[in-house]
Amino acid sequence: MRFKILLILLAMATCAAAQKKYTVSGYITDQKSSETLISATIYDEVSKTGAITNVFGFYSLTLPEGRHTLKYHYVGYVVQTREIDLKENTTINIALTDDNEIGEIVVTAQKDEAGITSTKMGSIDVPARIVEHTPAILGETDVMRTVQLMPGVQQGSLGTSSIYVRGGGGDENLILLDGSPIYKVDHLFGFFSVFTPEAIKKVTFYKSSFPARYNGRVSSVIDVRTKDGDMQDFKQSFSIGLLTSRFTIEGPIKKDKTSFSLSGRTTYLSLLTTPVMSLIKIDGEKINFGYWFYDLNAKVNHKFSDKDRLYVSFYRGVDKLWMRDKYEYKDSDYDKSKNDEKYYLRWGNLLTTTRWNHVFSPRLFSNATLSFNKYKMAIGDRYKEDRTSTFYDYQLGTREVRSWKSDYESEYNSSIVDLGIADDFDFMPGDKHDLKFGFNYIHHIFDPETSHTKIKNTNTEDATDTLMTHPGAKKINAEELSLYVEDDWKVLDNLHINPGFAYTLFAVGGKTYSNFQPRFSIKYTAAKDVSFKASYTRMSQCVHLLTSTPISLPTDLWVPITKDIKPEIANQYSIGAYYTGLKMWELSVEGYYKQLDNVLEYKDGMSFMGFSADWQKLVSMGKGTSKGIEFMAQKNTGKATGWISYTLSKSDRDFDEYSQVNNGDPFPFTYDRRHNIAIVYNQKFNDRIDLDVTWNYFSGAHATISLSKEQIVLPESRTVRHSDWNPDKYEYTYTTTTNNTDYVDYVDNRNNYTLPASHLMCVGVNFHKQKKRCERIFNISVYNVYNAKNPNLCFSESDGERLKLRKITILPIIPSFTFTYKF
Amino acid sequence: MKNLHIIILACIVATLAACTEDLPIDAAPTTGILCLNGYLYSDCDTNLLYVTTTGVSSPKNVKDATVRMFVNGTLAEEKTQSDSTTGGYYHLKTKFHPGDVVRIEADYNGLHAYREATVPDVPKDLHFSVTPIKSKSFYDQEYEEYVHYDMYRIDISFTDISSGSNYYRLYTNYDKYKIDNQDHRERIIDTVYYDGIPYEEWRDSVYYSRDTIHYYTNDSYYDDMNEDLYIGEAAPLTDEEMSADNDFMDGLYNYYNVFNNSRFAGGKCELKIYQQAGFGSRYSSSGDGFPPEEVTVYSDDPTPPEYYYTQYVGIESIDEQGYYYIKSLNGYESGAYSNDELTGSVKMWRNVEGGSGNIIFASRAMEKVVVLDGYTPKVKIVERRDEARY
Repeated sequence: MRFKILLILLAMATCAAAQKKYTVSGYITDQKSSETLISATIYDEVSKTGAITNVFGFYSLTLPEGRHTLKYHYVGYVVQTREIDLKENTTINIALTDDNEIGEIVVTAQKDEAGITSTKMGSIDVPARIVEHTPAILGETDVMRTVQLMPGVQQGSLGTSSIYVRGGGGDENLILLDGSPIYKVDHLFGFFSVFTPEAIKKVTFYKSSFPARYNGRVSSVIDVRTKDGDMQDFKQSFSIGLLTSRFTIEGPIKKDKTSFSLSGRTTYLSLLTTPVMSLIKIDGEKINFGYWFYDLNAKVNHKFSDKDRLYVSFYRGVDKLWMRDKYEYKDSDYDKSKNDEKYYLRWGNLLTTTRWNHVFSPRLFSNATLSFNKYKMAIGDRYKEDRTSTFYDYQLGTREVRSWKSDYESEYNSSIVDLGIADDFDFMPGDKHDLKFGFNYIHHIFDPETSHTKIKNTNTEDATDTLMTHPGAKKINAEELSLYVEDDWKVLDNLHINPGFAYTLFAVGGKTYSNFQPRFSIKYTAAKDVSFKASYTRMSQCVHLLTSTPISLPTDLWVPITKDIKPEIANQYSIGAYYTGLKMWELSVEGYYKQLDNVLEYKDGMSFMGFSADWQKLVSMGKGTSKGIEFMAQKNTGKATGWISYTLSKSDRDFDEYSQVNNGDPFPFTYDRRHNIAIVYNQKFNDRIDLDVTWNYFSGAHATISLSKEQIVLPESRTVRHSDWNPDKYEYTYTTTTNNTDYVDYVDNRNNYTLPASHLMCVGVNFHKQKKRCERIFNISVYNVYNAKNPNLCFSESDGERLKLRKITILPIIPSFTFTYKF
Repeated sequence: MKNLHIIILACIVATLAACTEDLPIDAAPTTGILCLNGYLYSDCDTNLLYVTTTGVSSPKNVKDATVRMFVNGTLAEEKTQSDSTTGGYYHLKTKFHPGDVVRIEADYNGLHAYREATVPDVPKDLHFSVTPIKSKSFYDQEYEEYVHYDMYRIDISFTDISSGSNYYRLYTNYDKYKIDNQDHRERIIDTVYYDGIPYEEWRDSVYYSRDTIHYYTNDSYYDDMNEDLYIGEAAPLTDEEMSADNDFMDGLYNYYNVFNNSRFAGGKCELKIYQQAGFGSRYSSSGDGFPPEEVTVYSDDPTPPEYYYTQYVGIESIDEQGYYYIKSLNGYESGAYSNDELTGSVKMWRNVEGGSGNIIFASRAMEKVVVLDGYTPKVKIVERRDEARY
């Protein structure tokens, strides 16, 4: 069946190409920096057809021979018009001018009609300026926090940057950095994402009709594209905030040919928290620990010609949490030592991607990609001792003073390495078709657990110098191949369809899973400003994240499916209506129904506790359903921009009676929040001041709470002899108890408690000052302006007679400021 | 893991200044749920069944439940009164055998709960032997020094009861004691410190395997690790090794020695586990942990001490429900289900229908080996003025 579809598509494409038409193609760039513009539009006023630039800024528009009036536009830029007499294939590269040059940000002549023109639904473009203008915790703007404000997106634990899209799990989001999947997307246990705002060019978020080239996760795709680097001039910006400092440098290596972009971010959280930490004690001991992270993005792009471009991008991000204890021990003159103990947790991503864009013809564009992606986590321990002891031999009556040094190192590692190769083609055979096809192959190497121990001891009697390496769970190799094709087909002037499919193979442990994933979207334009869409999407997922806490931990492990655990499948049906009749506004309503098959849950009483061996025995496969309706009113142009969205949704899980999950009874998904309202308001008063406000309300998530105790039986009787020191008799007194029962929390149903709703407002004000050689921006942000005491975490505790439920609010009102200098 | 949670939470709290408040509870406490619990052995004269109900702060014992036991569909026993004055447990005197279908049910206050299962077969061909192993010194993180930690290695083998999915639990126990020249009998136990409070604890099978392997760093270490794969269910490392002895996280410890046959289905299972020698001084660099070859005694009382050591090993086959229940118990004992702020409560495994609790049916094969039977070291006799040591 799938081959028939392909043949039909190709036949139609060939027929279209056979007509006497010519193609206008080229790149659309920013005039100042030569940075390519993604999703810029080209529109022919004569034939009333248009095209849009791809993620590399390339467009292709096939038109009949003759005169045409082409309009090039991009939000926030001055529209350019070209009159052409088309007699042959023509390359037109366009450099658009930022409309700040003409001092006004009002684009009324040409509306940004992304909601109408796109055949797909549930896809939202998030330009970098929107990310920059979303206030967040401690002044740290964040892609994920912006995405959290989109309809259909639920955040996990309040304050974290985790996202749950249309009832999907936290590990069901494909997050791409310049086209490569990134496994660990957050810092500080989920409070910040790894994306440095200054490095971002554009973010595209998909939640229903996924383009066929995206595969591997079932709930959403977040495609983050970074800046290529200014081809004309050097630019620098430096920001100093409460939590982090950031820099960006970009410029030409050779004008109009080669450019680079370099950005970095690091935190000084430890410096700020050290005074507070010194007051905290665990088990009566002071803890001396610190935390830092950094991100480094680098990119070089070289333009060989109008037909060939090369991009090399690099990302490195590392988090480290450590504890250190340095102390001297002196029992007497006979025994003394200097000790240095250090424990650490370190985790991070390394991504390198090389992409080659080649324009085979005005109608065929190719992007070939080679990628290397590594995520590694390490838990380590180092202990050093410099010791002097006096030994006394009672038999011989001799003393000996002995000194020695000990050095003990141990590290536990977990890593994933992906080696990928892909080629994506855009083929635009005529004005009615836009074909995309290609392949993506990834060789995964999962290395869930390995530990190394090194012991050195110079004590003559016990001298050791040992290195031990223990591979824990076996290293797992997996091969993933996906082939895809899709066509954006203009059937009639007011009817567009987008049929496509992806075919994926995933081979692991001697078993190969194949999945055919059809995708279909249809758009009907009923009137000038009214359109309707519908879509069906099937997605599959072959990797899962093992985790047991609601916050992101570095010890969470990604593992591939096994011969017993099948790929997770999502079938999603969506319909939507869109209206753009109100000046500068886009109104939309979308409804969806999503079925999840082979969704995983831990069996009752099972949990992931740091190692992955036999993990498949701890989980069961079941079903999940999610349905909802999303309203959004968005204003993208003008001095005041933003959006209002409301989501009504329901999501639950259902496992059969043999699954040992919740006795086979259905239960609500943890982040099944019934209502979600988001308001984002950005106001540019003048060139010097702008204001950003967000307000968010969402119903409470679900938690599993115990309100009573039940008895359990132990396989062995436990005899415990308690010792109590009796200072009068100067001896211990002992009491012995023997029992083979105990009692634990009784839980009738999973997620049996609905937490209270949360709401919060965040405000940010930017003060711009243009100086002679630079621009200074001073940002003041306030997170949770009216100090709403939202439940970030909750737990139950007993006061001896009754159980109480308590909430912890860890994010009260938090003011912050950031200075930015742009040169 | 709990420590990691505490540190992360402390970090977040210290950074962002938390506050705690009570929440309204809109659900009624789930009290009065009938719970049946029992770990029942085939061919056993008396098994205990615990009958309780859930309670707000602790479960409530039930004195007057009606308990019935059916074997292969026939009512074998019925009790209406607890065998304990405070309620809670009921003695079941009916012997059942491997292969029997046993149903246990109870009625109380209109509540009805039951469990029915087929009793698993007894593991076959159980053999074991004990070998003394002298270790090199190792670095003891807890006591922060290099010490000897000598072991007895226990080699165990048995045959899987079938090629299907089977589940087992290792049981070990020992009786080690010394009788000194004053005829005092001293049982050898280990001292355990929890939260800095010293108290001594022993469980029937506490001294075995993976936690002791950690300390055992001689040349055959790797082999031993591999051979211990079954009982670790391929868990890569011990608790301590996985966390590199650090304070960040604890692993899930196989506290009750439960394992499945996925790596030896239908074949022979061979386990090697280790037990501390336990007779000597742990902290002396010269003490080797085994009974001494020679002791010094006073000439006026030259009787040397006697050392006794009997090792017991049992392999229990349990049903699948029992296996998962014990795995969840491992999580509970390891502190994974601590109802802390990050993990919340965990719904425990349960196999009783109509109520809550777990009834596990087990069949045990048991062997014992007498390792030392009144072993007497050589004596070196000294006069009273000298220091006599043993």
